[in-house]
Amino acid sequence: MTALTVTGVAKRFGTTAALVAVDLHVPDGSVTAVLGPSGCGKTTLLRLVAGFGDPDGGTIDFGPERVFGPGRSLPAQRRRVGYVPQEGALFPHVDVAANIGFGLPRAERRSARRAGELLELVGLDAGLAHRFPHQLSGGQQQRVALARALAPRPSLVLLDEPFSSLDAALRLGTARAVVDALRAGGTTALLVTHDQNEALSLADQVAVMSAGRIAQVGAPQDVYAAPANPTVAAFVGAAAFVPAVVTACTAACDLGELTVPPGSPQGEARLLVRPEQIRLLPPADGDPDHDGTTDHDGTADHDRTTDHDGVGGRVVEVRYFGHDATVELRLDRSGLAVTARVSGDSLPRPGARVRLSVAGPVTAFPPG
Amino acid sequence: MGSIGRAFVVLATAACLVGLTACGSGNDGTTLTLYNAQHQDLMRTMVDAFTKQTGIKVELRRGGDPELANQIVQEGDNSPADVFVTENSPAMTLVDRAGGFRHLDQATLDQVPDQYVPGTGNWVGFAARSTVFIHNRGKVTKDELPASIMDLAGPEWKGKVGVAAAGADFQAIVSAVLAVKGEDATATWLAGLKRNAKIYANNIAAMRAVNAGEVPAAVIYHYYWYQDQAESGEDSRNVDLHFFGHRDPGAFVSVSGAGVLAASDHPTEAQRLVNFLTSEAGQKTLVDSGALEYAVSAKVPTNPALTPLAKLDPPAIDVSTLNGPKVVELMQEADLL
Amino acid sequence: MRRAGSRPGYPRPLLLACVLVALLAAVPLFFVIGYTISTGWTEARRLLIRPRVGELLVNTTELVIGGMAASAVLGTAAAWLVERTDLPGRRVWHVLLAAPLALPAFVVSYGWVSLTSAVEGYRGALLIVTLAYYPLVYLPVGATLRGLDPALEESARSLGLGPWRTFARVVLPQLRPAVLGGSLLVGLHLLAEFGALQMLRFPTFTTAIYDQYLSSFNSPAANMLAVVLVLYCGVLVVTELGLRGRHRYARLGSGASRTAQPARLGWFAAPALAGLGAVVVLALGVPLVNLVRWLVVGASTAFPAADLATATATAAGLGLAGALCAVLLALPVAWLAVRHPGRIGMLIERSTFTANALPGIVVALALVTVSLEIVPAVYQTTTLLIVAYAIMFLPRATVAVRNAIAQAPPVLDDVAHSLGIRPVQAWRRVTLPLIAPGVGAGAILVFLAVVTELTATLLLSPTGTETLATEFWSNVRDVDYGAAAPYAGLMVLLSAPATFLLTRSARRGS
Repeated sequence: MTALTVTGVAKRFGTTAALVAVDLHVPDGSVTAVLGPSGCGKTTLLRLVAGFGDPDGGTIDFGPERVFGPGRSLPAQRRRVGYVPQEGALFPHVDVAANIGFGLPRAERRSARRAGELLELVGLDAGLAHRFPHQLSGGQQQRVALARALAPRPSLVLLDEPFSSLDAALRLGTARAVVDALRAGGTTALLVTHDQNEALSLADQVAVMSAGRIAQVGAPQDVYAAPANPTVAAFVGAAAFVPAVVTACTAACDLGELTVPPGSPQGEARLLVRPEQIRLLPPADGDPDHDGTTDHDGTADHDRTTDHDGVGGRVVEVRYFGHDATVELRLDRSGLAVTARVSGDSLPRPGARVRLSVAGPVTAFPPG
Repeated sequence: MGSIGRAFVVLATAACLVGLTACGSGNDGTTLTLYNAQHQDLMRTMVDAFTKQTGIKVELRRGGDPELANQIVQEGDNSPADVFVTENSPAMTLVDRAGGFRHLDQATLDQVPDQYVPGTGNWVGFAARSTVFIHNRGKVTKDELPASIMDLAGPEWKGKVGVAAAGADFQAIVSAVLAVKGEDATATWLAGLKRNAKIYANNIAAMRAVNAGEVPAAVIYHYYWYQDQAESGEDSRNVDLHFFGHRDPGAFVSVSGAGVLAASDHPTEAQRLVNFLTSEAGQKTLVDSGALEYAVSAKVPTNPALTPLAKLDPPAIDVSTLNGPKVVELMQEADLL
Repeated sequence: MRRAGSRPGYPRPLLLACVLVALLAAVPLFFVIGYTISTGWTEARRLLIRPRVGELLVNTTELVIGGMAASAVLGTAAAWLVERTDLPGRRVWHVLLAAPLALPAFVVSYGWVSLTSAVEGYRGALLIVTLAYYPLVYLPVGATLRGLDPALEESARSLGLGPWRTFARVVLPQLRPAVLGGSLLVGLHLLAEFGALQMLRFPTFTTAIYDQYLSSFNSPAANMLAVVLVLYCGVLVVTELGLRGRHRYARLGSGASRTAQPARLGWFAAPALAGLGAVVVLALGVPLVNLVRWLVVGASTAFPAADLATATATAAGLGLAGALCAVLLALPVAWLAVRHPGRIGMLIERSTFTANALPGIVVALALVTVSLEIVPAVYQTTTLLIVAYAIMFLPRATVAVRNAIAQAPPVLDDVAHSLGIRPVQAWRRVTLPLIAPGVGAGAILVFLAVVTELTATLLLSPTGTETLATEFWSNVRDVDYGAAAPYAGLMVLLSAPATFLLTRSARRGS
């Protein structure tokens, strides 16, 4: 297995720039997810790595070997990459065993052993070997596609939105099985996806792409907790951006005074607040609970109590998901809308008045 | 992908080359190409006799008189034809006027009576056929028979006469009308026919229609009736013949011609073929063939079943003056074509 | 965005091949345009503005409109009875109703004319062309009916509509594209029809062009009529292209997983059976019985086994060569259209469809002149004849090959390459097996068309080359029905298995 290094790769289609100087390093044996919205260039990047097209500039290295660079372009069939396209793209005219053996030398193709091994590796029953692709479920097709890609022992496996066509129930299990199979073989893998849950939960490293550039590369937790910019922040998870004024490590905003990490931009700023950081507090004494009295809020009063008792707000809508729920709130002070993620028991009702606070440090960005 | 594109180009080129090499033009020294506007069976029989005598093979390309004549003219020097044989003389004249023929060997010309040879000596008649008015015995009485072919344009014949307007035979008959009566009279006559006539694909179809009573009468050549009588009579049982005679344009005797093309690559063999067609042996083959056309050679007696040519009293028309293209133009103007 | 399907830019050799094919396909059209210009207005006026042309226009229009309408009604009604009712013996009926596709129109016409001359003229012509061509409506409408979601009809029934009103208000509107598309195809066939109409003594533009050709070979008169015919066809083709564009949107999914509850015919079953029986008897029974009768008659007089064998071999050989050539020409065009979608691909694909508006007689006239004046080496050669077939039948080959190539998405090539397979090997192991059935179907379509092609063959075949169709025709012209029968029989025998295969695969494919 081998590392992948992409340096300064650019690609235009006509007048559209699909990739603008992309740099990416995928360490040996790791699973890296390229995450981005439709049209950000992530599939183009993957196709260039596979050799299905040539970049306009830059270099691509597999470990020590340069597969693309000035004066050199190794054709796809000699790059030894495994490729798992969307919806699997199994060869419809041959059975599962022949699909898996497709890239193997003729002698090895004949023996059923390798196909059996690979079926086992991707968690499928060996009895499927002689089924045809149309007789398999979507998840099974996807696993066979991986088995086919792994069969010639590639140095790198590329997966292009491999799970997007599966329904939710299948997606999780299939994705898990595929990544387990990749890890079991210590395979270097590049997974392209627009699903942040998939990227964060499956990958060792996440590269967020936007408008033909890599916006941020890092471990899933880092990308989520410390996004490089608001775009990345919004793409990797739900986010509220709250105007604030930062002084040293304290930011004053409608949600009260929040902590920001050292080195944050000073003065006017936008704070990134994730729904799970917003806590609903038990109703304070004396506050009318359910009567929905009209506003008579004394601003000074609230300010004073912020640190201890949170800020006041009204529940707009509650969405219940079983394992948890989200509560949409409107802040009393400014009317700002924020969403809180809370556990599924003891939910407030729409219209109820609540108090809320923010847990943990938040990220501050310069004002947009 | 580029390599697949290249593969397409290679395959397509290969297919074209295979096609080109597979298309032998047929002229490999001993095979003559005969553009045949005559009946295929008759010419097959005659050229088979020729091949038997000389060992020279002949391929037939079939078509109609004006079609093949115009084709030869348009082909010009590129024409693959060696010999042209027609049913009627206007087509021969058309090619002759375009300079498409080679002068025939004197021996050939000497075999044929003068009235079947044009002044140019570039082609000869080798068979003749007479125009005839046929009618359904039950539909047209003796008194109603027209005296002249010109009468068929009159109102009493509305819907009662069949012609094969697109056929060369009928167009030759029109050319005789043109030669005898002049352009204006012909145009008037054609306009009358347009009103009166039912159009058939060819003479056989017209005769069949007369026999079945679909149309009371038609103008055709004589041998269609004689051939059918000789075979089963199935299509002519109810059909009687009426020869116009009296030098009426309707008594026109049409001459089937044969000539050697200027563009021929095998003029010697081609001259031999035309010589054979007009020779005693060739003419005898014609008479014996069951085609029931008239032979032109004085040495070969007419088939006894036929009314002798001398009794038909045809109009005197120079075979080389019949004007095919003018006839087509007049018929187009009359909306018969 | 995602460029999985298309590669940027066009591979040069492929583009070059496509442009060459498009130019070849457009030769007859260029010729017609060029000829019109060179003929000049005065001469064109003399030849076109005259009562004969008016008469042809009326005849042709009457026949086209009547034939399209009658085929639409007959084809749709038959398809509905077979696909959506509890009619007894539906499978058998399907085969019987599709079978006339194996009978060329001139053979149907022959079967009738040799029985009675009562079918001559407009009414007879209308009857016979309808019997010969209604399967062109029946088959697509049947396929659409099979693919319709029965839930729609069930909803209509639950809203209180009876079977007839359900058909009229729910089913019929969805059939519109299939009915119109099929009818337009009938119209194009009628415009190009020669043999059947010549036998029925019903002159249209095509038969008149042939008559002109007989009278004066390749003359302005013939070519001016051809211009009118091309314009006429052009109107139909443009309409058809427009409809096909919308047709795609009208299609729903790949077909229903459930079959609809068949409508109960009740007392109507008897007249329905009688009606279908009448269609089968008239379209299949009369021509075939009469054909067999003439076979017996013909065999008693003469049975030229050698000529029959030669003509069969020639027809089959030309059919194979024509099919191969048309498919080879269609491959780059279809490949470009599917794999490199864009304006150039569409333009080239469309340009090959111009042949749809060019009846065989027009293509043949054009090639006669072009070959005589530009490439005399191919004049009167098999090559030229095959080129004519390829041009004429390129549209049907392109449609079939295009659908076939769409069965092999480019992502499969990518996967194969990523598995270390070289492009040529990938083409052999992936693309070829996937597109082969569709390409084969296209080849069969062209083969069928070539075997029964008459007009272009009459004009272009090399001296001494006789096909089943030309031998048949020359005997029919001489009203020698007995001698024509074996050739007609062989044409039917050659087309029947291929037609059967096609209708069966059409049924399974749905």
